[in-house]
Amino acid sequence: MSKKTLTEGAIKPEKIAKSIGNHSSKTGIGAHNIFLGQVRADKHEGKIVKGIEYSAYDDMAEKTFHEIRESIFEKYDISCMHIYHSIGMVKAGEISLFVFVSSKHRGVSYEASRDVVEQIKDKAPIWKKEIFEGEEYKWVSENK
Amino acid sequence: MKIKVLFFGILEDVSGCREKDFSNFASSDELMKHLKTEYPNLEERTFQIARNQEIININTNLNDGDTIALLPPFAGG
Repeated sequence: MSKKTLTEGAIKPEKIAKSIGNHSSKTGIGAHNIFLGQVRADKHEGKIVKGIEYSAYDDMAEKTFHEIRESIFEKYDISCMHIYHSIGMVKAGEISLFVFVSSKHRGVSYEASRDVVEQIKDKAPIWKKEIFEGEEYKWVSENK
Repeated sequence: MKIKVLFFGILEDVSGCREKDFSNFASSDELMKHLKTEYPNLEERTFQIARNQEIININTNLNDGDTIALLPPFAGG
Protein backbone atom coordinates (compact mmCIF):
# COMPACT_ATOMS: atom_id res chain seq x y z
CA MET A 1 0.00 0.00 0.00
CA SER A 2 1.15 3.54 -0.69
CA LYS A 3 2.26 5.99 1.97
CA LYS A 4 -0.17 7.19 4.59
CA THR A 5 -2.75 9.83 3.70
CA LEU A 6 -3.87 10.68 7.21
CA THR A 7 -1.57 13.20 8.80
CA GLU A 8 -1.63 14.51 12.36
CA GLY A 9 -2.76 18.14 12.73
CA ALA A 10 -2.96 20.89 10.12
CA ILE A 11 -1.26 20.61 6.73
CA LYS A 12 1.38 23.32 6.67
CA PRO A 13 1.72 25.67 3.67
CA GLU A 14 5.43 24.73 3.60
CA LYS A 15 4.51 21.12 2.92
CA ILE A 16 2.39 22.22 -0.03
CA ALA A 17 5.18 24.39 -1.42
CA LYS A 18 7.68 21.55 -1.02
CA SER A 19 5.31 19.15 -2.74
CA ILE A 20 5.08 21.48 -5.75
CA GLY A 21 8.86 21.77 -5.82
CA ASN A 22 9.23 17.98 -5.78
CA HIS A 23 7.59 17.83 -9.21
CA SER A 24 10.11 20.03 -11.02
CA SER A 25 12.01 16.97 -12.24
CA LYS A 26 8.84 15.51 -13.82
CA THR A 27 8.99 17.57 -16.98
CA GLY A 28 6.27 15.62 -18.79
CA ILE A 29 3.75 17.36 -16.52
CA GLY A 30 2.12 20.51 -17.90
CA ALA A 31 -0.62 21.10 -15.33
CA HIS A 32 -0.98 20.83 -11.57
CA ASN A 33 -4.36 21.10 -9.94
CA ILE A 34 -4.44 21.66 -6.20
CA PHE A 35 -7.47 21.55 -3.94
CA LEU A 36 -7.12 22.77 -0.37
CA GLY A 37 -9.78 22.40 2.29
CA GLN A 38 -9.62 25.05 5.00
CA VAL A 39 -11.38 25.03 8.37
CA ARG A 40 -14.08 27.71 8.63
CA ALA A 41 -14.88 29.69 11.77
CA ASP A 42 -18.62 29.06 11.40
CA LYS A 43 -21.03 30.55 13.90
CA HIS A 44 -23.71 28.42 15.60
CA GLU A 45 -26.16 30.03 17.99
CA GLY A 46 -23.74 32.83 18.75
CA LYS A 47 -20.77 30.52 19.30
CA ILE A 48 -17.80 30.60 16.97
CA VAL A 49 -15.98 27.47 15.82
CA LYS A 50 -12.34 27.74 16.87
CA GLY A 51 -11.28 24.50 15.20
CA ILE A 52 -12.26 21.05 14.00
CA GLU A 53 -11.17 17.79 15.53
CA TYR A 54 -11.01 15.07 12.89
CA SER A 55 -11.23 11.39 13.72
CA ALA A 56 -11.17 8.39 11.40
CA TYR A 57 -11.40 4.65 11.18
CA ASP A 58 -7.72 4.79 10.27
CA ASP A 59 -7.16 1.43 8.56
CA MET A 60 -10.41 1.56 6.62
CA ALA A 61 -9.75 5.19 5.63
CA GLU A 62 -6.27 4.36 4.28
CA LYS A 63 -7.80 1.48 2.34
CA THR A 64 -10.49 3.81 0.98
CA PHE A 65 -7.89 6.39 -0.09
CA HIS A 66 -6.00 3.63 -1.87
CA GLU A 67 -9.16 2.59 -3.72
CA ILE A 68 -9.92 6.20 -4.67
CA ARG A 69 -6.40 6.58 -5.99
CA GLU A 70 -6.72 3.40 -8.08
CA SER A 71 -10.07 4.48 -9.51
CA ILE A 72 -8.73 7.93 -10.47
CA PHE A 73 -5.69 6.49 -12.25
CA GLU A 74 -7.96 4.09 -14.08
CA LYS A 75 -10.40 6.80 -15.14
CA TYR A 76 -8.13 9.75 -16.01
CA ASP A 77 -4.90 10.16 -17.91
CA ILE A 78 -2.95 11.78 -15.08
CA SER A 79 0.74 11.68 -14.24
CA CYS A 80 0.54 11.61 -10.46
CA MET A 81 -1.62 12.43 -7.49
CA HIS A 82 -1.21 12.95 -3.77
CA ILE A 83 -3.79 13.13 -1.02
CA TYR A 84 -3.22 14.33 2.54
CA HIS A 85 -6.02 14.55 5.08
CA SER A 86 -5.67 15.86 8.61
CA ILE A 87 -6.53 13.90 11.69
CA GLY A 88 -6.78 15.45 15.16
CA MET A 89 -7.15 19.16 15.83
CA VAL A 90 -7.03 21.75 13.05
CA LYS A 91 -7.65 25.40 13.92
CA ALA A 92 -9.92 27.71 11.91
CA GLY A 93 -7.97 29.10 8.98
CA GLU A 94 -5.67 26.09 8.75
CA ILE A 95 -5.61 23.50 5.97
CA SER A 96 -7.10 20.04 6.58
CA LEU A 97 -7.20 18.55 3.08
CA PHE A 98 -4.60 18.72 0.31
CA VAL A 99 -5.32 17.07 -3.03
CA PHE A 100 -2.68 17.41 -5.71
CA VAL A 101 -3.27 16.09 -9.23
CA SER A 102 -0.81 16.49 -12.09
CA SER A 103 -1.27 15.76 -15.77
CA LYS A 104 0.09 16.60 -19.18
CA HIS A 105 -2.71 19.06 -20.03
CA ARG A 106 -5.00 21.08 -17.78
CA GLY A 107 -8.47 19.71 -18.59
CA VAL A 108 -8.10 16.31 -17.03
CA SER A 109 -6.42 17.70 -13.91
CA TYR A 110 -9.54 19.75 -13.06
CA GLU A 111 -11.86 16.80 -13.56
CA ALA A 112 -9.73 14.34 -11.64
CA SER A 113 -9.17 16.74 -8.74
CA ARG A 114 -12.91 17.34 -8.33
CA ASP A 115 -13.59 13.62 -8.52
CA VAL A 116 -11.01 12.86 -5.81
CA VAL A 117 -12.51 15.42 -3.42
CA GLU A 118 -16.09 14.24 -4.01
CA GLN A 119 -15.07 10.60 -3.49
CA ILE A 120 -13.30 11.48 -0.23
CA LYS A 121 -16.43 13.24 1.04
CA ASP A 122 -18.58 10.32 -0.03
CA LYS A 123 -16.49 7.29 0.94
CA ALA A 124 -13.79 8.04 3.51
CA PRO A 125 -14.71 7.03 7.09
CA ILE A 126 -13.77 10.34 8.65
CA TRP A 127 -15.76 12.45 11.11
CA LYS A 128 -15.45 15.95 12.42
CA LYS A 129 -16.31 17.68 15.61
CA GLU A 130 -16.56 21.47 15.68
CA ILE A 131 -14.85 22.77 18.79
CA PHE A 132 -16.06 25.99 20.39
CA GLU A 133 -14.47 28.10 23.11
CA GLY A 134 -14.45 26.20 26.39
CA GLU A 135 -15.33 22.51 26.41
CA GLU A 136 -18.26 22.67 24.03
CA TYR A 137 -18.37 20.80 20.74
CA LYS A 138 -20.76 19.66 18.05
CA TRP A 139 -20.43 16.64 15.75
CA VAL A 140 -20.85 17.60 12.10
CA SER A 141 -23.49 15.31 10.72
CA GLU A 142 -23.85 16.39 7.12
CA ASN A 143 -21.23 16.31 4.46
CA LYS A 144 -21.99 19.15 2.07
CA MET B 1 -15.76 -16.04 20.72
CA LYS B 2 -14.82 -12.38 20.77
CA ILE B 3 -16.27 -9.61 18.62
CA LYS B 4 -14.77 -6.15 18.83
CA VAL B 5 -17.22 -3.29 18.27
CA LEU B 6 -15.95 0.16 17.32
CA PHE B 7 -18.03 3.31 17.75
CA PHE B 8 -17.15 6.31 15.60
CA GLY B 9 -18.18 9.96 15.44
CA ILE B 10 -21.26 10.83 17.41
CA LEU B 11 -21.81 7.14 18.25
CA GLU B 12 -18.82 7.39 20.55
CA ASP B 13 -20.94 9.76 22.66
CA VAL B 14 -23.98 7.50 22.39
CA SER B 15 -22.12 4.45 23.71
CA GLY B 16 -19.74 6.34 25.98
CA CYS B 17 -16.76 4.46 24.59
CA ARG B 18 -14.66 4.10 21.47
CA GLU B 19 -14.60 0.31 21.51
CA LYS B 20 -15.98 -2.62 23.44
CA ASP B 21 -15.70 -6.41 23.22
CA PHE B 22 -18.72 -8.67 22.99
CA SER B 23 -19.13 -12.42 22.78
CA ASN B 24 -21.69 -14.99 21.74
CA PHE B 25 -23.38 -13.20 18.88
CA ALA B 26 -23.60 -15.38 15.82
CA SER B 27 -24.82 -12.70 13.42
CA SER B 28 -24.72 -8.96 12.87
CA ASP B 29 -28.48 -8.73 13.42
CA GLU B 30 -28.21 -10.42 16.83
CA LEU B 31 -25.36 -8.14 17.81
CA MET B 32 -27.24 -5.01 16.66
CA LYS B 33 -30.34 -6.07 18.56
CA HIS B 34 -28.24 -6.34 21.69
CA LEU B 35 -26.45 -3.03 21.09
CA LYS B 36 -29.74 -1.21 20.66
CA THR B 37 -30.87 -2.62 24.01
CA GLU B 38 -27.65 -1.66 25.73
CA TYR B 39 -27.55 1.78 24.07
CA PRO B 40 -31.20 2.75 23.36
CA ASN B 41 -30.15 6.06 21.76
CA LEU B 42 -28.62 4.11 18.87
CA GLU B 43 -32.18 3.61 17.67
CA GLU B 44 -32.51 7.24 16.58
CA ARG B 45 -29.13 7.41 14.84
CA THR B 46 -28.27 6.82 11.20
CA PHE B 47 -25.22 4.66 10.60
CA GLN B 48 -23.69 1.99 8.41
CA ILE B 49 -22.10 -1.20 9.69
CA ALA B 50 -18.70 -2.48 8.60
CA ARG B 51 -17.45 -6.00 9.26
CA ASN B 52 -13.65 -6.15 9.09
CA GLN B 53 -13.62 -2.81 7.23
CA GLU B 54 -16.19 -3.82 4.60
CA ILE B 55 -19.64 -2.25 4.68
CA ILE B 56 -22.38 -4.86 5.14
CA ASN B 57 -25.99 -4.24 4.14
CA ILE B 58 -27.53 -7.57 5.08
CA ASN B 59 -27.46 -9.83 8.10
CA THR B 60 -24.01 -11.42 8.21
CA ASN B 61 -22.58 -14.31 10.19
CA LEU B 62 -19.92 -13.30 12.67
CA ASN B 63 -16.71 -15.15 13.42
CA ASP B 64 -14.36 -15.10 16.38
CA GLY B 65 -12.04 -12.10 16.08
CA ASP B 66 -14.30 -10.05 13.82
CA THR B 67 -14.35 -6.28 14.14
CA ILE B 68 -17.67 -4.56 13.71
CA ALA B 69 -17.62 -0.81 13.24
CA LEU B 70 -20.62 1.50 13.50
CA LEU B 71 -20.12 4.35 11.06
CA PRO B 72 -22.30 7.47 11.18
CA PRO B 73 -22.50 9.58 7.98
CA PHE B 74 -19.00 10.50 6.86
CA ALA B 75 -17.84 14.09 7.20
CA GLY B 76 -14.31 14.23 5.85
CA GLY B 77 -12.70 17.06 3.95
